[in-house]
Amino acid sequence: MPREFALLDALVPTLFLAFLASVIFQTVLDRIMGRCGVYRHVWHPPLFRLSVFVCIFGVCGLFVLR
Amino acid sequence: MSAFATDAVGSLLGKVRQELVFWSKAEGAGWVFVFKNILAAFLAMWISMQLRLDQPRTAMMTAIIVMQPQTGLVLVKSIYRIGATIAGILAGLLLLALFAQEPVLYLLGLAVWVGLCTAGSAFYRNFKSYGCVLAGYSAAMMGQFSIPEPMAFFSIASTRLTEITLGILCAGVVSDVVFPRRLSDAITSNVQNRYAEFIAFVRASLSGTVGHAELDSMRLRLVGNVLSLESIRSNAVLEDPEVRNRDIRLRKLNSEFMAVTTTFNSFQQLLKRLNRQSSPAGRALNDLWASFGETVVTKGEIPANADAAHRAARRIAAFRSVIGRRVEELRKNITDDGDPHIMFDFATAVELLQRFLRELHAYMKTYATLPNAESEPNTPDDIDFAVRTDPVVAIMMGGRAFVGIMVVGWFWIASAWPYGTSALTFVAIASSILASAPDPSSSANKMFVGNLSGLAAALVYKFLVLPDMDGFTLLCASMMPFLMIGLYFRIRPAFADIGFGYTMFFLQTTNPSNTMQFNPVDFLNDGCGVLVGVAVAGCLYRVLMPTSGSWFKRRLARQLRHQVVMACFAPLAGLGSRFESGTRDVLHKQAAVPKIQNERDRTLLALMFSVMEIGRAVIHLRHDAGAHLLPQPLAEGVQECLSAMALFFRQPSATLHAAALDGVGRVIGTICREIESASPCACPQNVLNRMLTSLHLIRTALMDYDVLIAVTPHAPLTTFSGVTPHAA
Repeated sequence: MPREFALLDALVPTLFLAFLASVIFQTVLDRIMGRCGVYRHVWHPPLFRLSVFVCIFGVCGLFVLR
Repeated sequence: MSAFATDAVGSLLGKVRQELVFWSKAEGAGWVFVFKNILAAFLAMWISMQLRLDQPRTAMMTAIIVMQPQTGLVLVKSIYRIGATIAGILAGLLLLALFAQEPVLYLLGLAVWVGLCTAGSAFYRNFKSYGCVLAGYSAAMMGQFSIPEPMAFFSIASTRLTEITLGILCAGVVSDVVFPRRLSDAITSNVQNRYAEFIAFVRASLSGTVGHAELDSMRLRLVGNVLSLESIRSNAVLEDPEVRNRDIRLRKLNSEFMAVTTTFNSFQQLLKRLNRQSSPAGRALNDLWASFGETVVTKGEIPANADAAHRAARRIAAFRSVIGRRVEELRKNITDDGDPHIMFDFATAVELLQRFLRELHAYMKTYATLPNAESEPNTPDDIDFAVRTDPVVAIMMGGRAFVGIMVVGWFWIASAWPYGTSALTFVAIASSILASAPDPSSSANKMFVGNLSGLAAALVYKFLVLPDMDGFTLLCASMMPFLMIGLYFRIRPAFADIGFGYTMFFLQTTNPSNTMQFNPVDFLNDGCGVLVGVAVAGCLYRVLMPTSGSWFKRRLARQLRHQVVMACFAPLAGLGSRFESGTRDVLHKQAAVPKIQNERDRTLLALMFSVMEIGRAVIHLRHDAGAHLLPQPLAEGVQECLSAMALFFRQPSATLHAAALDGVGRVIGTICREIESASPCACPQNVLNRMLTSLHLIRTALMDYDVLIAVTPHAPLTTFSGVTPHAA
């Protein structure tokens, strides 16, 4: 996959798109987990949330940069 | 000997531990905030240095601006802010693209944009207001560096965007992950505090030993409590899935609390008047009230959890079943007395007391079910929290920012001052940040003091300390104490603006970056430019329509009067809650001005409480009148009475006041006749009685001395000479 793409002739890193996609995915996942009450069994919900985000973004990033 | 020594050491250690626990309770949270702030700023600095962005200070400053002590902000909210930043950058970009050759047009455009953003930040609340601040600030920030080299504007814009976004994200992650102060904890403590405060208020206002000013400030604290719960709730909904589930119940809790306090205020006014006339009815009511105090207030420990709230609710329910019988007994005792006016007052007071108990009971029940996670399926969702911001005042704020930018811009162009851009940026930043402050002019003063001290500190740091420091670790270590001073001031409410100004200025002028530049002349010139910008913004807040001036107060009074007009005519669904919250919101604006300064302010405050009373009674009246089929003359009378009231509150004058009173009196007469004739009309007796109560309340509130003074400043009071002024 290309490292950068041209948006209206401005070069934008593809990682940025991956970032946006992971944010959206994480928001949806967060809602679902909140509704199912997953966070009640977690010691530190925000840290958990951040870690989940890092995992998602890491996977997306590796996929983009492969 | 040695045993003695260990004992001594042990007791000393115990004392030290005790002190530590005490200290961490009092100061711990504040210091945690300071260190979180520093961590966020350094994280932002480190990442921007790694990415070779040319201004790490922008990221650091943004992180510190965005950081809030209580609200943990996660990605959702950060995205809101980032959106605002993008809007600001785009506006800046557009302005540069259009007017890079035309300084006058460029300044005009920038002034309009920052003015709009400032108006928005004064108009909206919470994170919307923040978004507006960021949009204005980033456009100005962008201009500062692109004006000297317009060809580079696109790369500058994208770098600025990256830096600001980085700052926002760092602040978000740090405040959420490191020792988060959960919003749900804040909600719990708010709800507990308010019960304690309310009970204290009930006690104080009925003991009669507490001064007027103190009672007023207690009331205002309760109002502040309601608004802070609403603000926490609206933030928490965005972030905490658990809070989202309980959202409806929280709103219900707040709206019920408002109802309880209003009813209590009305009851207290009435009781005071009955006591002054020292009638048997007053004494009887006092007995009744004392027994209420025994059951609910003294025995009731402050319900700290759901169970205790359950118990309190049960006690109140038990008392409610008792009170009906006691009222009947009392009524028999005082009917011999005969004065119809006093009987009327007594009946109204009893009705109010019962309503108060009903509402308190409902409130306690909601409180008790608050921790339950599952939501009730059938709760109607018509509880709105209305915020009332005067658009004219918000536009004034925007106009001020516009004027500020134009003045500085004109000076810059006319004098060809090389550091004009710094002044321009800071006039924009200061105006938009000050617009959402409760008391802008004093905040502006403090901010200026903070800026001066920040400049001094940066001078010492940059030219005496920093040249000896080598590497990122030492940079952070040496910067930390300087930042700690400012941030520590920032958590003290009285010095918050000083601390904020200091920190901003320190970072702006220190300007840490990968390749440091040490140029004292440039440093001082830039510093002076920024100081001029802040000073201009502060002066304009003092000079152009200051918030403590009489114009602002007239606007407030007008807005309050308009609340009653709304109560008379707006659609009924959810009106009660909207009215109560809107009036409290207006009131809170007034409470922000620190002290009740003069007689005029006092009357304004009195007007607010009367407006609350009248509006609520009007809404009750409309509810009762709308729910049943009234006989023709009565229905018409109610309509006429409502429009007379609305007319009076729209344009107060002595004649309209008389007309409104007359309308109310006529409806009361009609209802009395209806009750006496006992005609088989469709509406039941108790509805008519409730309507009588509402009308009586409206009438007494209308005749209130304070209302007359506040509403019609030059009204000939002799017109109402028959009325005893009862609000001493």
